[in-house]
Amino acid sequence: MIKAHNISKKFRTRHSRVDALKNVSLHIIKGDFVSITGPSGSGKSTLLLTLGGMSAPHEGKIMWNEESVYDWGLRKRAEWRAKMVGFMFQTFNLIPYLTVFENVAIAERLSGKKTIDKNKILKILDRMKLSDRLEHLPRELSVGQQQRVAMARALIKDPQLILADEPTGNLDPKAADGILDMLKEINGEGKTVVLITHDPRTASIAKRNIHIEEGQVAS
Amino acid sequence: MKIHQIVFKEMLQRGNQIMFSLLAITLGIAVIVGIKNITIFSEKAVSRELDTLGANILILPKSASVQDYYSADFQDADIPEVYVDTLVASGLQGLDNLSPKLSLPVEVSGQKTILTGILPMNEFKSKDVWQGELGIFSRPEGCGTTPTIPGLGASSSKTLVRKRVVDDLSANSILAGHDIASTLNLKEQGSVQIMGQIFKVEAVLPATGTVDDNRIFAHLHSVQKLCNKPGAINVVEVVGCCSEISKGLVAKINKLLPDAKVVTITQIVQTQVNTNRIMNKLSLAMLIIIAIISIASISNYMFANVYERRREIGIYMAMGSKPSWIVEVFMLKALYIGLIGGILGYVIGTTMALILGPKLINIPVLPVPILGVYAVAISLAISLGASILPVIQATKVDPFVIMQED
Repeated sequence: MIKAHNISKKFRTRHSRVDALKNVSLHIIKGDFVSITGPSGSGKSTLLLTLGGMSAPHEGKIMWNEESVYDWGLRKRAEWRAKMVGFMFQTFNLIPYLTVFENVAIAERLSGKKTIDKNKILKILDRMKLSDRLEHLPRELSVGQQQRVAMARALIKDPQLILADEPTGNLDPKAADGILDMLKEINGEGKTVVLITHDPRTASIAKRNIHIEEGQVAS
Repeated sequence: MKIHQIVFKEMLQRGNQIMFSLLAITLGIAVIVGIKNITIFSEKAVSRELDTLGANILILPKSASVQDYYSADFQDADIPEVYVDTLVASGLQGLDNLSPKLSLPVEVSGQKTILTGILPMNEFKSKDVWQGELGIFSRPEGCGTTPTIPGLGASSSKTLVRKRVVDDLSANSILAGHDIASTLNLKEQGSVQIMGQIFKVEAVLPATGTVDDNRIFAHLHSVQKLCNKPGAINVVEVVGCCSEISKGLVAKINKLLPDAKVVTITQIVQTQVNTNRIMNKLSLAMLIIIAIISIASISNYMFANVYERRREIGIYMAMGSKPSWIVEVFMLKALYIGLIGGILGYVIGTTMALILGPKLINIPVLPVPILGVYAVAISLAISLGASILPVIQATKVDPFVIMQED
C-alpha cells in the first residue's frame, strides 16, 4: 500500500545540521496496524509527516500503490491527502472558532465534495459519543472529547490510511484507552493505521512495531 | 460548510484585532468621501455664485478696447446682429443667456446718459432657428443645473440685472437704470423723450452698483432705427456657465466667430479653475496618504493573521486543502474588510460632509451616491492589494515545520 524507499531527511538548525531520517525503508500493507516507537527526537513524527505527503524527503521515495507521492504536483498530492489520508495529532489541532460539527464538516468539504452529507457527519459524531456536543467549540470540550473530534475529522472522508501522531499523549489513561479502542476498531474495519508513540503499552495494541533510533530503523 | 462561513467565524473570533484595520480603512475612506463630497458642492456653489454675477463673456468688435470690462460694450465699432443666430445655431454647451446690445450716447433732458438697445426674450422665441434644443433658453446640459439656495432665485423685476434679459419690451418702452431714473425723476408708467421719440417708462431697475445704473434700456431694434444702424450691435453679452468657460468655451466661440473679440472675466474663471485644482489635488494627496496608511495597516494585520494562523494553515493542508483554497480564505477576508470599510467609510464620510459642509463653508451638501461606488472600489483595491504578500506567505507555510513545533 505505502512504502518508504531509503528515505533520508535533514534539518538545518541555527547551530547545526540534523539528520532526522537516514535511509529508512518500510512497507505497510493494506489493513496493517503499525506502531512506530522511539525516544524523543528519533525521527518518528518526521517519518509520519513524510509518509503523509506533507514534506518531501531529501533522498528516497514514498510509494503509494507503485506511484511516487512526491513526483506528483502539489495539487494532486493535496487531493490524495484529502481523500486517502487521515491525520491525528497529539495536540488535536482542531480549528478553534468552528464547532464540533463544523470541524468535521470542513474535512469533508476539503475532500472535494460540493455538498456535505449531514447525516454522515452526525453518524460519525454519534459513534464518537459526541452527539450532545455538536454546537460546542473545542475549548468547551474535555481533551478526550477533543481527540474524538479529531478522530471523527480524520475518518469522515473514509480514508484508507490513518496516520496518528501520539494521539494519546495528552490524554488521561481512561480517555487514551477509549481512543486506542477506536483505532483498533477502525483497523478491524479494514483501515490501515500507523501509530506513533513512545509508550510501549500503547504500541502493544498494534499488529507490529517498528522501532526508530537516531533516524534509523533499529528493529 | 461554506467558505464564507469559515471566514466570518474567524473574523468574529478575532474581532478586536480586525477592528483596528477596519477602523483605519473606514476612517481613511470617510475622510476622502467627506472632502470629495464637500469639494463637489463647493465647486457647484462657486459656479452658482459666478453664474449670478451676470454676463461673464463679452463678444465685441475686433478693434474694441476692454480697459473696463463693465463698459466695454460702449464702442464706436460694431458687429452684425446675425452673430447671435450663429451662436444659437452652433449648439455650444454652456451658453446660458445671450444678450445682444447696441449702445450709444444720448442726452435726455440735458443729462448725458447711455441708451442701450437690448433684445427681449420674446424676440428670441419668435425666431424658428432659435427654437428647440438649440435655443439658449433651454438650459444647456451641465450648466445652470446647480442647486439654488432658497431666496436667491431672481425675481422677474431683476431678470435684466441678473440674467441680462427681459421677457418682453415693446418698441416704445424703456427700462431706466436706478441712478438715471432718480436724476431725471423718471417714474414707472411715465414717459421720456429720447432723440425726438417718446418712450414709455416700463420699469425702473433696482440698483446694481454698476454702469447699468446710469443707462436707459430700450428695444434693440428701436435703438438701431434711432441711430440708423440696422442689424448692428456693439456687443453680445453672454452668461456663460463657468464650468464650461473653464473647459474652453471662449476658445470655441473664438473659433466660431473669428472676426470678433471674445473676452471673459479671466480672474473669476481662473479663481474657480484654481480652486477646483487645489481641492482636487488635496483630495488626491489625502487619497495617497490614506491609501499608504491603510495598506500598511491591513498588510500588517494580514501578516500577523497569517503568522497566528500558520498552524491552522498546516491543518488545512494536512486535511488536503490546495494552496488555492488558502488563497480564497484569506482573500475573501480581505474582500470583506474592503467591502465593510468602503460602505462604512462612505456612510461616515457623507454624514460628516452633510454636517460639516454647512457649518464650515456655509454651503448645502447632499449625498453623492456615485462616491459610494468609488469608496467601495478604492477600499477593495486597498484591502485586496495589501493582502497579496501576506496571502502569498500563507501559501508558503511549511506544514512540516509547523507540525514539528508540537
